[in-house]
Amino acid sequence: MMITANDVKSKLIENFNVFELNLQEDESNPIAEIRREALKNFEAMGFPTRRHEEWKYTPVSKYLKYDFEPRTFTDNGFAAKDALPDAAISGLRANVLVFVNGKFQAAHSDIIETDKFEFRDIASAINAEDPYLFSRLNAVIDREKDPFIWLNQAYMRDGAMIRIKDRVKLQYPIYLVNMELPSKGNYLDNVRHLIRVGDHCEASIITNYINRSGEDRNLGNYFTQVEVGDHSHLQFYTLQYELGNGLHIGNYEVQVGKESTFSTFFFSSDGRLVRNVSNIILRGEHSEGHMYGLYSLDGNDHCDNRTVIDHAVPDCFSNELYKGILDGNSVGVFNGKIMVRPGAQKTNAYQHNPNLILSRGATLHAKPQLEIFADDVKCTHGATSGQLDEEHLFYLRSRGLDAANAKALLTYAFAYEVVEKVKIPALREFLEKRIQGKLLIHD
Amino acid sequence: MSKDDKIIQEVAGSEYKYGWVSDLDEDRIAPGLSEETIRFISAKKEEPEWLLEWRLKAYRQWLKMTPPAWQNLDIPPIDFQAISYYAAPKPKKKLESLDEVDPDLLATFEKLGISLEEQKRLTGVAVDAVIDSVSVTTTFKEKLGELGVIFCSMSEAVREHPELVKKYLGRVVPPTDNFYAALNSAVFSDGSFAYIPKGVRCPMELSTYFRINAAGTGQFERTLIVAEEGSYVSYLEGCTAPQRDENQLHAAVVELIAFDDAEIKYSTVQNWYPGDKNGVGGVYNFVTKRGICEGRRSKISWTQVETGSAITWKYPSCILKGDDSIGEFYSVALTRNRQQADTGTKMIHLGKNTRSRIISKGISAGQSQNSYRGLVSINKGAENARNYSQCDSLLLGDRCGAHTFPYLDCSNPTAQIEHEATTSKIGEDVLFYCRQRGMDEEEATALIINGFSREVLKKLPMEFAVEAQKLLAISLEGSVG
Repeated sequence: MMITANDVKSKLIENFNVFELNLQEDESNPIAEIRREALKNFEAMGFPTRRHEEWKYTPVSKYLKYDFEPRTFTDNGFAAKDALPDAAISGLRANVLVFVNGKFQAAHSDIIETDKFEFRDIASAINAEDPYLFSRLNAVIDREKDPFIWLNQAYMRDGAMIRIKDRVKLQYPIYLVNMELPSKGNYLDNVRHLIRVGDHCEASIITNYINRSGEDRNLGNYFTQVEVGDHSHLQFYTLQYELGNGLHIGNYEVQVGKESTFSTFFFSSDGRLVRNVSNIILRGEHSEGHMYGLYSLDGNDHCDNRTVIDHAVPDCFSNELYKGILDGNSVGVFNGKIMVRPGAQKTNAYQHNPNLILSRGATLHAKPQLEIFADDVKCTHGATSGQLDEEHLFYLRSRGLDAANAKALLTYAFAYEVVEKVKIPALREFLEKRIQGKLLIHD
Repeated sequence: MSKDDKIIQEVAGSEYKYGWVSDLDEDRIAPGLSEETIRFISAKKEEPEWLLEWRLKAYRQWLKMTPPAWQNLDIPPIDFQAISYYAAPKPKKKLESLDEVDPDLLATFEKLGISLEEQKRLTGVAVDAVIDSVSVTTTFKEKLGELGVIFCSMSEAVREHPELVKKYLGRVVPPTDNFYAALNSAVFSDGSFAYIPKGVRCPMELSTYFRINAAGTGQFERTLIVAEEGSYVSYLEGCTAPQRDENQLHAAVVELIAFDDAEIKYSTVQNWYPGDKNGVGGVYNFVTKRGICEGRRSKISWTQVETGSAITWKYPSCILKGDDSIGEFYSVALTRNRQQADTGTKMIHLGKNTRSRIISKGISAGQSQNSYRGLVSINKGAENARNYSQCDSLLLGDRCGAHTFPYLDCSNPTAQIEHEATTSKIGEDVLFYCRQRGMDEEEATALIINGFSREVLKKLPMEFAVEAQKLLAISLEGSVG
């Protein structure tokens, strides 16, 4: 019998007790209450259908046809050691934190700068009834919209809780590796990352998502909450190069304090279903948000990028550049919203979403969006879709490049505008090689 | 209070200039909607059986539908049973000349500044004047008749040209297209019908002036324009409405069909009662307008200047089916006080080498909310399709909102889409420049708004461009002086 999204939902709700039992959390632990409330919200909302404006182009129900079971065990047979080289970025020295199948792996992790930030895995933070953890769990901002956030909250099992102390400059990035490996069956992993950057800090964080579930369809449901203090700078990189058949839902909620800069970089190039929702709130004056994204899709990839930059206070600046390369039968979705709240005067906000469609089967849905409630602002957005310029191709061909290489070179140049924004040299080189490899540029 | 603020307050606060009620002897039915109502309307208009069936089918479908909720509008619930679906001036004799028209009616037109006689004599515009729901008079018919152009009310078309109506009615906007289109299909009272035969270039602009004139009467216009191969027509539509305290629903449907090499230019100036300063009253304007470029090299161009209505829900669209066809949309939407507008266009590219162009200018003042919502959809077969969209918003005052919701869907790699949007207020430097040259702030604001809207205004036929400019000026009076 066909399993539907509704079946998946009712099963998740029915089996919640089993999940709780397996986790063996203390009954008196406040988490029980938080989980139950989240479950109630999830139940009320259910999985989105195409009728939900935010899910119009991502028919998630279509993919929810397996018995996704929330994973509570750590597979003994897992081969993290074998899979870890996939996450290697050559030349990158970093504070490495590894999560496999939604569970922290201390043995594979390595924190170099122990004195500069605190790390605790969420599972032990729950057991220790960490007040900071609970304060964050109770402060989810986007409470209305996304059932996956509530699903995550109800079923969260582990994740990283990172707190960077005030006046700290991290010398090395924090590298969060999130792996999903096959373990016979279709599993749901709910991972929560909580990041707090203090005042007067400078740091970069790289998250890398790898899904090796193969024939099994794992659903990784990630929710990351970031808090940036005042006068700080945070670069946040997300790599989605190894998702294969996996389904990936990523929600990001970021709050930026005054005179701080937050930059995010998304590189997505794989995955049966990938959805990234970034909700960035500039809530301190004179803060800046920079958003860069590159989705280069092929085959049956489906990648849905949603960004909201929320100008809640005056005098902030935001800039967004998301580029798409669509090949094969892929579907690319971009929805970028600039929100200017009443009173957020002197806002400057820019957004640009150029797309390159390389094949007949590919489809693009772009929806740049402005919602402006203050008058003294400058907000612009632009979106384009097209193919490679004939004249540019001709120029290269008349200089001796064959058609395939000319096309590859121009596509690479298109992508490079985003890649060049990456500030960590080792990561930039890694990305350059990735894209070159994908485009098959030969000498 | 700074001068800036004063201007803004004046803009936001100016009252509607066209508000009055003209006292016409009316024939209307009690409020309520049922199959009986529809049978009544149909019988009253002596319609053929097929049209009644068509209406009933739409009605039955409408019962199953719910009002759309996706728009960025705050629409108070509408009691569809509280609306009277038919109001007509007293049963009319066939009119031969203007003398036979109700003098009150003529006075109404005079107040609007569109005296039929003057129109007839001076401007060369044929006017199919619609008061409330039934056409009262049609001018220049004979002259058009010589060329084979049919321009008449929809009821007359049903009687005189049933084969054409039957063939084309609902072809672009099916009776079940959306909630309001279904309602219109069920209860439409009258409207205009234009048919331009093959190879004819319509020698004058066809024009209809609408007025909503009966308190509590929804107006459900149905307009159908068919341009045969190689023909050209320019159609003007303009509206003003009397001041009222209760909301009036207007759910019109406009269908345009252009065959090979035909061109239809459809221009609208809309100035219905927008409600008072506190948002009380005002017209709800929920319109479905759609044109199809059926033939190769055909062209449909929508131009609209929207200054009225409490709530506007309107998306004039083009289905570009024929190869090399062109769709255009030019719009100025001005909202003030507590007006809400959610308007834009849809360009559906189906044929090869189809081109579309969207220019939308939004001006928000007071506490109004002004949204552009548009779709550009390039289907698989639309080789080399081309779209250019530009949406600019101007904000006057810090309590209004301007929003842009463009949707771009592309399934063909050879297509090229460009979309850009900006939102800002009038630049201090621009104002400063004007003031330096001796203009006061009001003149400067008027000049700048005029310039901001120019690209759209210049697309209007001359008669309309003047009226539209006047309308913008009146709407912004206080600042424009």
